[in-house]
Amino acid sequence: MKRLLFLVFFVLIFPACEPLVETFDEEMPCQLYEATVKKQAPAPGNTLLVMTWNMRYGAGRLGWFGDSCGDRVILSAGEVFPTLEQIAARIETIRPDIVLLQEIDIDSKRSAYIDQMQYLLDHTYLNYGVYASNWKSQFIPSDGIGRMDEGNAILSPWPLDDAKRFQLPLRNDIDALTRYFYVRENVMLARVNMPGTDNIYAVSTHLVANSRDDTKKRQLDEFVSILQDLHRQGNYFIAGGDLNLIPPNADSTDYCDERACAGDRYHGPNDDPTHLEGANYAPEITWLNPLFDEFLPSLTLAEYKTGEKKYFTNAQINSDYNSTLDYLFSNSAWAPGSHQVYHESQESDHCPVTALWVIPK
Amino acid sequence: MFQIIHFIRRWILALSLALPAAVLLAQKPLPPESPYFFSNTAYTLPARRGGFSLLHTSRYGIGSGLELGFHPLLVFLSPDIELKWKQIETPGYTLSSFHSVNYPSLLMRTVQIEGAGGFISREFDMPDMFAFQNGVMLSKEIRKGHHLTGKALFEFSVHSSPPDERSTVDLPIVFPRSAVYYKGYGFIAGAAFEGRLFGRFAYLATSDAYFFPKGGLDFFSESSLCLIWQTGRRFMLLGGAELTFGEYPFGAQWHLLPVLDFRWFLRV
Repeated sequence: MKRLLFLVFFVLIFPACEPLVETFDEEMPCQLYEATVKKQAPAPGNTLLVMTWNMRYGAGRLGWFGDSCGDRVILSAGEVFPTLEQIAARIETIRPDIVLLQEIDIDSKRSAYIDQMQYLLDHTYLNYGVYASNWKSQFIPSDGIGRMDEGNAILSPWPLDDAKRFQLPLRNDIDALTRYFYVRENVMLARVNMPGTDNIYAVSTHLVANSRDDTKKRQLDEFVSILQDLHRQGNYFIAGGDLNLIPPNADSTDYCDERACAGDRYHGPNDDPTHLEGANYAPEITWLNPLFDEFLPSLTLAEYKTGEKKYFTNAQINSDYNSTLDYLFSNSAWAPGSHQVYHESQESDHCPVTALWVIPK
Repeated sequence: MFQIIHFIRRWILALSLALPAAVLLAQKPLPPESPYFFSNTAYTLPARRGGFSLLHTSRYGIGSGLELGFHPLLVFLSPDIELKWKQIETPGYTLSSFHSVNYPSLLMRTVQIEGAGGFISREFDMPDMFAFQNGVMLSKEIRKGHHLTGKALFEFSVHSSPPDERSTVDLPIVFPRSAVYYKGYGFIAGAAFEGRLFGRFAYLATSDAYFFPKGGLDFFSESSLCLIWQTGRRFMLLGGAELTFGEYPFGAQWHLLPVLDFRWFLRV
């Protein structure tokens, strides 16, 4: 009886020690989604239109405290739904075959707990989705953020399988407590089961934004390694995302002034820090070279140089697009000149980026 | 680092349960007629006798079947005064009425912090709010040394302006206790079973249910199973687990939480 009693207590106590924050395995499956009502998937032609878009959790250009100079933390459903409606409409208009998303929320207090994956599948022609969290906590006791589940996603009209989430290295330049509750960036991939193909993978990622050490480089190395593995295994991939790095031949490498909040000063002899966190790309300017050297970008560096402004993908909430952070890569050819950005989009602080990918025969 | 903390925490919990086992055979039982309970029963404490806890409500007997209750940690930021008033006492059962008032606005404003420690966003203006609970508690000795307590409470809130619905803290324990400020009124029903187990050990099993009918019925439940170690005549240690269920703004969720506390009975 006594032994049984203590056994009952231990059985009850130990599961109670589950951590508050999801810390993720190195490799794990993704969360699968399907549209409530399936739509007729198109027959694939010779090309696929691929889109990558950091959709900013449906906040549009509102001033969220964490990524702009705003003071908003918890948005209302009345604020998020109209933006989601515009995002769905943008996808419907552009009509990509494969959508790679970043900063999509499925269960976050900041975005009124709206499952944005399900919303987009139910309000577009897309049928299938896979989702991988990169920031998941039952409660973040900071700034009133509360519950959080934000991640990357892949959407497609065709079924997706073999979906995996790979954990990227964590920041080393923040204290342990902050790191525990901080974003855990990932690379996610899924096989696109288009009729007549069995070796095409879509890959979505979002690298760290504000690190001041080599975290982004270590994450990029891991991203490249995953793409190399896919290539070695005889697969084709279309990979994209918000890499939070500017092209190696960009004219400007310092965005401290563009991104500074009112009253903040940088670059002066007495300014501490000298640079705004995540806005000085000078030390990182060569880090994207291996990706450009090894794989095929939808936008070559030569094309980019012909008119940088035309290819900017990132803006501040009250400014025009002024830097390029979002990319598409593959190990097979893109249709020349098909890379396109959509500066008319105001649904996020990033604009959608698309390119036509030639389906290998 | 946090893996180490979790590891240490598990061992502390394990030791806190294993320790009573180690001393189990070394201690003689206390005399059987202890008048003290860990749980909140319909019985009231004798005059000038206090039962103090860290996480649970502390209680103080003021005589004539009256007992005051307050929370030791929150008393200054979220003043919560409870009054238990013995109404009927027979050899078979004891019935008391229960009345409380709580003012949480100071606490809510205090946790509107920028950065770490911010449980509620600073974008919300937290109004002045009061919640009142009224109800009855009935305790009965089912078998010698084993007491069952049932309670039924009605709670309602008044405020200077309605709080923003997005300012809730969507966590177990916290949300059911603050829901009345957002929902206006609710009902609480519960039962607690406390009794002598063996030696200096007792058990406490509780189950509470919260109902908030306004705007569609929201339901929360909290059930706990704890072991009480009576280290001396006036000091108790409690350890166990609490299983909670709740219909939060994001949906329904279960939690299993550890429970650790003490109760120290003093003449004040």
